[in-house]
Amino acid sequence: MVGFAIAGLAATVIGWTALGWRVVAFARLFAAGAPEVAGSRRDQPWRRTATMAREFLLHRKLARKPLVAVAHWATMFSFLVLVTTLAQATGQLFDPHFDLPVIGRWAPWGWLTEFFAWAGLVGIGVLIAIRLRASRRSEGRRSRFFGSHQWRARYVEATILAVVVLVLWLRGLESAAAGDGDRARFGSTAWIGRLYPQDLPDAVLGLWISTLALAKILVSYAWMVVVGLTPTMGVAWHRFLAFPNLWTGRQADGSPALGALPGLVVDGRAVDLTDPEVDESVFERLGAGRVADLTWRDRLALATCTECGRCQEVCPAWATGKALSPKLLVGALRDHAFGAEATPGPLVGGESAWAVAPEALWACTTCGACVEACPVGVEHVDQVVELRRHQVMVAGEFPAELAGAFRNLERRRNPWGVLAKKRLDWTKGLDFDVPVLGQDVESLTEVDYLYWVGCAGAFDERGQATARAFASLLHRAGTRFAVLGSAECCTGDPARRAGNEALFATLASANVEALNAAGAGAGAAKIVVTCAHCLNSLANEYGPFGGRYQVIHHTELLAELIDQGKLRPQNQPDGIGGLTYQDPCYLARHNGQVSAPRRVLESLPGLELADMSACGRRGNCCGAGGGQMWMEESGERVNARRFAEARATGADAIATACPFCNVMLSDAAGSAGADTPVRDVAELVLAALPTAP
Amino acid sequence: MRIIVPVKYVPDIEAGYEFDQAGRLDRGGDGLLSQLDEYPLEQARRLAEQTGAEVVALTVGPDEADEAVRRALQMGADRGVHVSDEAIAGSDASATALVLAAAISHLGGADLILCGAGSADATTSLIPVQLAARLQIPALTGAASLTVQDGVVSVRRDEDAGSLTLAAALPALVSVDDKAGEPAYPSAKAVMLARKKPIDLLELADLGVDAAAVGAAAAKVTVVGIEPVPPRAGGQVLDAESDDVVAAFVELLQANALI
Ligand code: SF4
Ligand code: SF4
Repeated sequence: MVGFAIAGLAATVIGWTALGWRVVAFARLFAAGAPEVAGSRRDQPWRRTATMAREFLLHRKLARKPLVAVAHWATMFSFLVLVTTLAQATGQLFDPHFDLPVIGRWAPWGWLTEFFAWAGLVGIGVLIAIRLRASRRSEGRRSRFFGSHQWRARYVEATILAVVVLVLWLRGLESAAAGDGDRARFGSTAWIGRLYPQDLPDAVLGLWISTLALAKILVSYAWMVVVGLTPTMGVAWHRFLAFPNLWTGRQADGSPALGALPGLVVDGRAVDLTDPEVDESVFERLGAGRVADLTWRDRLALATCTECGRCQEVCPAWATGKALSPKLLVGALRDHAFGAEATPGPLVGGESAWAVAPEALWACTTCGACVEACPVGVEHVDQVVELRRHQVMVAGEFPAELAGAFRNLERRRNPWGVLAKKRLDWTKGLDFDVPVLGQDVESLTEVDYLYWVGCAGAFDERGQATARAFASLLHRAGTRFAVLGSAECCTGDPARRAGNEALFATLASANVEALNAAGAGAGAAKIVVTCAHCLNSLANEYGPFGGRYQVIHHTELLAELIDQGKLRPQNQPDGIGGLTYQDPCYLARHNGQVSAPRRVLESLPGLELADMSACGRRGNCCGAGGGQMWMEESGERVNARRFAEARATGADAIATACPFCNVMLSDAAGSAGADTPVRDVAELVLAALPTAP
Repeated sequence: MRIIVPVKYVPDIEAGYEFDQAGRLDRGGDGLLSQLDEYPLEQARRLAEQTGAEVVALTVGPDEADEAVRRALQMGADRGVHVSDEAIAGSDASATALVLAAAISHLGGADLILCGAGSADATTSLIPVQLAARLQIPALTGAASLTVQDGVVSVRRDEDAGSLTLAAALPALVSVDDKAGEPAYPSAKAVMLARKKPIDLLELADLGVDAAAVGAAAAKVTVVGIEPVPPRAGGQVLDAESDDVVAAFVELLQANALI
């Protein structure tokens, strides 16, 4: 008995020391990270606390897989409740009849313990089964666990399984040792006690109890030692770190870190690259190039990732065989930052085995599916862009094709490199004049909407068709509108998401200047856009440049005009029957608009809208975002995959609401040799109107 | 070591050329650094990285030509010199070379002058040789690569029949062609720092050049006429769906005496 007590106490001391030592080491490591912008990630503490509690209690992100959610919830709570049984077991080393003071002999406490022990047993059993099933070898890359540290996960699972089994077993023995009048508090475990011979001497029963208590203690503290020694074991650490990570999310209300990208920050201060007086010392430190550039929150997030692979599973780049998996990117950065292999070398492309491969970094479409899916609040898109910023602005290493797009943006202020004076070419062939601000219309006070055509609308053939259709609809609805014409330039979205923040800042400032000069702003005419990327930049990213506008997507305006009876669709458009709709990432996921385009499509006669299995906020990317439109793609095409998904709905046409989706899916249809029409929502509405009088 | 890169501000080719009454290119409107000048700038940047040489971008042109110099500064030149004078307008290549040579002498000369293979607008490729002649230094043209060692510049020139390696003692002039290596995209840092680099403005009087020796009046070559390339007629498309498309195609070739 004394031996048991000594072994148990020694394990206790070693276990807590290992864990405590690592917690201190983590705290130091996080504190040594680069600062976040002053005041960010700590504002609205109550709101944050509520967000954290909600995510923790409701498991909203996990609910995508309902069975996993329930099983994980049960396992998680059993861990919280069963910590007390560790104290109980420690007492039992000394006295097999030990009970926790105060609550120990209270029947409801006993029932609660048993309930969670059983729940934990079932929960972990389900999780183990799911992991085994999902990571069968035949699943290969399709498995969300592909590339995860499987043995670490199995070890954690085995520990939990052993602990809950031991808790239940111990309860059974305790019930056998308890007097007859005391059995009520062992509601569900007394039968285990009855498996033992009734006439077992008390001393033997006591020995059983102490032995199992010691086993339980050793299993638990062994776990503490292992995780204490393995800071990169997110599968274990997330149970502690998920709380601060969720609390310090970019958005206090817990909405995913999408939409606007954070601006450039050095030493916790925003850097304005358009300011001629900007301090030269920051130029070497833009974006994240080395471990030292990772902020405390970056590091916290890296340590928290549990390698569940939910992000990997939804990543379009991974699904098409690219080098990028958001999970593996996070894992590589984590190991680089504080694994045994930690090196001071560059985060991207360096010698270190943990450096992120450039092919992986540049395969991201910034679609945000990973951010939306992550249950512990990892903000992959921001991280990817931070890495790209360093690669472009400091290291000068990025795909050669991008340099062409950047040059076009610099010289001609649009990624196609077409001259500004051709900005109005899309209006050719219209049977009415499109009013141009500064020529036909003096100021924005004379119109209801400023139609922001965007570069795709101005220069891309499919985009021009959409622009023509939308302008015709505005015209037919009697809406007063105007366009900026050659004063418009690219919003800078492709430059920003490709890491060229300097170029983005130049373009954004130019646009804000033109828009403000035209009188745009609060209270003025709204801006309507036909491009999801323009929407995101104009509405969410121009604030720091002095541009605060009310921006709506054209599908929102069309829904309104149809509701008001200003547009009355009467015909079945182009004889299309079955239709599916591609949610643009930057409309649905980044900006939460999924209903307006569907309302419009459902109002068109004769159309049957069938959604793809991945749609709305969980829709799959077309492959164009994040600057991919201007880069070479290798291997299977993202757009081809999405096109196949669209076809699988049996629809005879695809509706889009962003010119980039339109280009990508049209191209995919072409490559597949299919004649499936790909039409913007505006084109379909126009085709559904009675022929003009 | 000092490297001088003469650069030219040219109209945006895509904007379509516009000519004035006298048949000269209208240099107003949108313009940019001649793309062919990016190659010598890149070589200069690389040489400066190895040797610590000073790189000066020099231009002769109207006020807007500032933009070309600014771009050169972003691409690594340390400072800019811009010669601008009303009297220069309308100069031909010979007069431009005169002004460039005077400016280079004014600056105290150069160890190495790196030029583009030609300008993206007129593409006469006369400046490099005329400038070298004025300065009485050797000219190595069309370099596909170049190295400088112990006061000697060696270049490789790729020709149809093979490649040629040439060397000359400094000071010398080298014109660099587009095989020499793609210009690097300037980093944000380079762009930002370029804002603060100086551009010196010079006029003819500073250079001691007689205004009568340059400008339209002094041009030895006059443009007599100029005509835009006529737009191409659209091609003829045969319907691939129809069965006798091959026969129609053969007939067409025969009719045009192509087979
Ligand atoms: S944003 Fe999209 S493409 Fe990029 S890592 Fe996340 S899921 Fe993959
Ligand atoms: S980043 Fe989030 S979603 Fe991806 S593996 Fe880690 S915890 Fe899971």
